[in-house]
Amino acid sequence: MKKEKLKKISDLTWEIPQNTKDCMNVPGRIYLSDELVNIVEEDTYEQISNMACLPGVQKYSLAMPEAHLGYGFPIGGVAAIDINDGVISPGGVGFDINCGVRVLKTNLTVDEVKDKSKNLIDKLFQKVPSGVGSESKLNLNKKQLNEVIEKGAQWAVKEGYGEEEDYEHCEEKGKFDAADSSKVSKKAKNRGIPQLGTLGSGNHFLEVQYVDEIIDQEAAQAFGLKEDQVTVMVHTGSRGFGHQVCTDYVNKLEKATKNYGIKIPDKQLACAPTDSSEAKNYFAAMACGANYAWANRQVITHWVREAFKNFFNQKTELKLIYDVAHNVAKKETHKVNGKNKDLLVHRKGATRAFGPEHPEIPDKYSSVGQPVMIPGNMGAPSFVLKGTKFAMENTFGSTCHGAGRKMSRTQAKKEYWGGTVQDKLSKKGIYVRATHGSIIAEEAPGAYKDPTKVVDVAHDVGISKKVARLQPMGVAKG
Amino acid sequence: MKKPYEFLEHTADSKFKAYGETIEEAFENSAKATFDTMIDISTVKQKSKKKIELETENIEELLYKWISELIYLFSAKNIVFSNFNVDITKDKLKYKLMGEAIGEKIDLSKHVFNTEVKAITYHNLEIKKNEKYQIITLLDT
Repeated sequence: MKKEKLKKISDLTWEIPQNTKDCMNVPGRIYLSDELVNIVEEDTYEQISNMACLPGVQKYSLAMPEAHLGYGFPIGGVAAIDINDGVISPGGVGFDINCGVRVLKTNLTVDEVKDKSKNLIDKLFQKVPSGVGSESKLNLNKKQLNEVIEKGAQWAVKEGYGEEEDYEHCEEKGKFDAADSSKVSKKAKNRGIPQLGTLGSGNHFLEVQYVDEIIDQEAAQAFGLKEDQVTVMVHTGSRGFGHQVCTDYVNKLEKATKNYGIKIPDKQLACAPTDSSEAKNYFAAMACGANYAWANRQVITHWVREAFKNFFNQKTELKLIYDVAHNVAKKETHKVNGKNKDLLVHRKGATRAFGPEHPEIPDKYSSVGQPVMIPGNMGAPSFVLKGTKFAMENTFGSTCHGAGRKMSRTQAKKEYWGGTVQDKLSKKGIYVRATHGSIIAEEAPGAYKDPTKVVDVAHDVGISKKVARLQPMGVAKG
Repeated sequence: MKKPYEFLEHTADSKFKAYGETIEEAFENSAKATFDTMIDISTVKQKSKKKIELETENIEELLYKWISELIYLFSAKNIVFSNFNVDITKDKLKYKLMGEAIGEKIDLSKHVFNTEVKAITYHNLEIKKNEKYQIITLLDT
């Protein structure tokens, strides 16, 4: 699809008309600034219009302000599909099921940490296995893995990795009830056992940060954030377990797509009617993937706490503000044409951003809205935002999940040298530790869009509102 | 002989084009491209061998399953591969692949990994034959 087909609806809102493609059931809608429109790869718009071809999709196929090229769905893609007359698509969730982010707030201030961030990051790096080929320290057996994937973060807390409040501050309380371990292949389980409690590679990280600006006092107070406070961000997902669940089911649903006579413009959008056995089995397996990811982030959280306590003292506190999922399909009720409708909301590289008073968010945040965490990059700030009523009305309660790349990994390695990037960041007071220099080059700040520009669009449109800005002090990468 | 495979520009993931005089060679080169995304495969010794047998209804699915199986062995069994032999036959209903992947156990003291390949996708997957075979596919990284 050519960029020229985009129709500007208002300052930051663009539409792909429904007649752009014959198969589109609804128009596409994208939130971008004029500057970002030109950074987004043209094929991304094609992918947004492809999402609109899924049976049962409601109102718009949506792309959040970080929209960029993916496969099947674009990154930043949201499609809400009629649960009674639609489909589920594993490609609309992605391989890293429930890849997500959580932020822990500490009782430390920037001054107490800044001169020590290098040693602290080294400790975290030693404590949490990361990088390709790193192995779990947990030695789970098959029975225990089944418990992990059916109980998620609640399993981890029961096993002593954290406290009850932790899962209370996760979407779904860290446990998808729909999970059924019998719907997961042996292969996925074989990949899951050796990887629980590992960070992974690529864009996954542990970051020590501090609050350098409070934008919304009231919400910051509700979230327990204040200026100069040190926070820790954890970004990881369901590891090889989730990748295998998706691999298995994309293939199964590719066959189902043909069997049910569903026409889709991209094979990676393979899907099945929501009431079919294929769809139900996928949903139960995807829920296992989501639980694995919550358990993974929870176990890692526990080790981060141990590392901090050993490094500072036993009184050091790290409380979980909230944990958000990026790649998931969820049963939710939203207003469509003035009426409540049960939907299967697919978010692929997008964050749920429920507004105030929504029953799904913890009571203590109810008056302000759900906390939303948007990671920046190694050299640029992350943001805490809050969900809004506007998001409920316009994006099925969704916002962006990050800044998104603007340069491929190959290109980044040509442009940057890991050691140089590391030195530059170190001069800014940011210590980066990774398994290899090439990882730092791949993840160089210049390979990403400016997170502030992306978050500003989300804020200005109103699909989430800025609460606090978090500056990086040190990062451990896989 | 043109190079066995080349990487195409893709912002977030890894897209490649693999060539072969035969379909088998194109499958072997696709496997090499997959591992080359993660590691310099010249650093991987050929010490152990895994046999792989697959059966599917169409050739695209055969490729999907072939690459998926290799990623599975890599991820679950911690083996990294650098050489591949494939034999593909077709009867009326099915495509059959008899293959072997040769490599060694991951040794983090000498293997330097880039980002991890999570999976192969069906997105833009294309297998065609002009003068020779050509496979285009996208890996999620």
